[in-house]
Amino acid sequence: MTKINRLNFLFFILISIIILMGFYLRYHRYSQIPFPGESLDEYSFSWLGLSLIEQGIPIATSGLPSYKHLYKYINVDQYYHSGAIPNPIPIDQPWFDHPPLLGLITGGYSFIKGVRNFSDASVIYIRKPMLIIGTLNIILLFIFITLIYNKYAALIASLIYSTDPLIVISSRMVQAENLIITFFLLSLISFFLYIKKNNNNFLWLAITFSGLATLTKVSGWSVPIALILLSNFFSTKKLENFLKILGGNLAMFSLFIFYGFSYNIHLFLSVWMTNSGRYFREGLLSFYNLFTTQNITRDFSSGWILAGWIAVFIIAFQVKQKSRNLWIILPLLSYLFIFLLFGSENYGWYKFPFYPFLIGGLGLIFYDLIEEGDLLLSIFILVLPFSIMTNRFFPANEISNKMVFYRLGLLGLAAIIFSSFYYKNKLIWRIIILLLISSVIIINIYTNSIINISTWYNKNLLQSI
Amino acid sequence: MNIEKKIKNLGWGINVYFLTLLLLILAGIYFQYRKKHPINNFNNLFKTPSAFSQFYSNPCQTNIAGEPDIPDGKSYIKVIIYCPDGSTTYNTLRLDGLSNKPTVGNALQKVAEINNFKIVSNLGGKIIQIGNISNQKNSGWNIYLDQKPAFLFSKLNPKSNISIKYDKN
Repeated sequence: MTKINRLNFLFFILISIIILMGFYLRYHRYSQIPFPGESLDEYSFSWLGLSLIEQGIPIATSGLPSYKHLYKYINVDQYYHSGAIPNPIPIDQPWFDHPPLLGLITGGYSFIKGVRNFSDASVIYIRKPMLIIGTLNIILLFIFITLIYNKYAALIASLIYSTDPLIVISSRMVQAENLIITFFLLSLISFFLYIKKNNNNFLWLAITFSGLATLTKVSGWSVPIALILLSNFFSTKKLENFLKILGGNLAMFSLFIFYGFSYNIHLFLSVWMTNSGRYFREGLLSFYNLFTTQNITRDFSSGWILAGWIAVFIIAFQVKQKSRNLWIILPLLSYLFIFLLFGSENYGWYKFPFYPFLIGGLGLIFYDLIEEGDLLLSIFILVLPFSIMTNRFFPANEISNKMVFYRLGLLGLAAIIFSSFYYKNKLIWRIIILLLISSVIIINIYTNSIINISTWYNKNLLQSI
Repeated sequence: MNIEKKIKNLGWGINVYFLTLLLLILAGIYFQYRKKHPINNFNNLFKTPSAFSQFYSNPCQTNIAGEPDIPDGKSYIKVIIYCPDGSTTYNTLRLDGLSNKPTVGNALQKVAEINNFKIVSNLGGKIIQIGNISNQKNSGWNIYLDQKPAFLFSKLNPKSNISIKYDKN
């Protein structure tokens, strides 16, 4: 085996380990955390799919006043013995809150496994397809970053994405945003290949995936918007691409409108009018809260997400020198636009589609920092996830008798950083940066391992800040 | 000829797009077909308990804890079961979660479905067995609605209190 083949083989082993580790972390306690019932949306999507398969009518639960609710006690996953208020669940038919694509996947899987009624649609079944989708998203992120940058940046991004506890837990949930991530990445990969190879087949593939994103949730329209923006920067056929992307997506999305009209035109229109008037709970602080609050079904701090935003700001400033950074910035901006436009509650899952681009940005930055042997900026970024995660295990009241170690460690770190300004051998600093990243990844994995039913309710552990 | 050539040159990409559209349309046709020929009827979708549930022999093992949201302040009922071993289960339900004309039997059945125990009754509207606890010669399950003797088919009103006691006949 030649040296290059050996290196490629080693690289292949590494990425395989990352993917398998990502799957295992998502699989571990997947039916326990997030606690079943913390979001009724998970059941709602699956009931939608089940009812479509069994009855041909979309039936699920909604809080919107447009519906004439039928109230039912459905004790799925022992919902009423898990701390839930004993309200009957409002059941609506036909249900039009969201397009049915995700429901058909999770409900369809449950149906194959023998589930026939709503109380049997346990998270044991309905979350399983999300484990596959979550793992697929790691692979797609790797491919995407490899295409726009290189495989080393992609390796770092996939490693963080597969192990960050916030992302691991989020990806288990039956939420449409997790599937939007899949179609978003597939669409961007296809569009990149279209730009590079000037092959229309990839353009239509990208349009297909972006259309499927719109049939997952209406916020999936961020995908065609991203394609249009990228086309403006990277393609000479701006108008032609714009018409194809818009037309192709409208044709697909119109199927949802026909679907709604086929059941009840007035109710369909009423639901969407009500959706458009949803309460904007966060108000003008939505943008600020993106950086300061990380949550899933409850607050859950993640320094990687905050570091990701910093990375994205850095690569946004570098756009003039590195136009490939637009492949991260423009999709992020298109989803940010949709996020701010739609508003509504501060649900954690609305933020899921930001994560691949934030972590992708981190991958790009870390690669550049390792290339340069820039220890100072690496530590500056790494201190965020490191401090937030270790604070879970050493909260302020426990660290006071360990201050001497903390101070010695800080002085040692300062000495190493100071040395890096004078000792110019990049290899040593690269190794140190890699070791620092690895140590934070190990803390990621450890944090995942200790999150169980009892620690999930420990506010000090989850909400480190 | 030009059109034929153009179609041939379309490429696999647009074929994938149209195939996807076709599959989605077929899904829609399936839904319409299933609407007329459902696999399962509407009420069966809400059949409880879940197949994952394990039945308890003691009906006082669990409660439906907490108080439901009741905007009008009235439309709830309480179901309390007093077991022979001295344990008690307290349950509160909203009336709109039961059937249109709720009875004691509807409420008790709903409590049984949620708390995972079985109820056996006779045609006379009396309870024969709850969980593994059956009526005996001198004692058995008795139903009281707002402290008055009642039957399973007795109608409920808002704020009704149902007590099921295992006491002497």
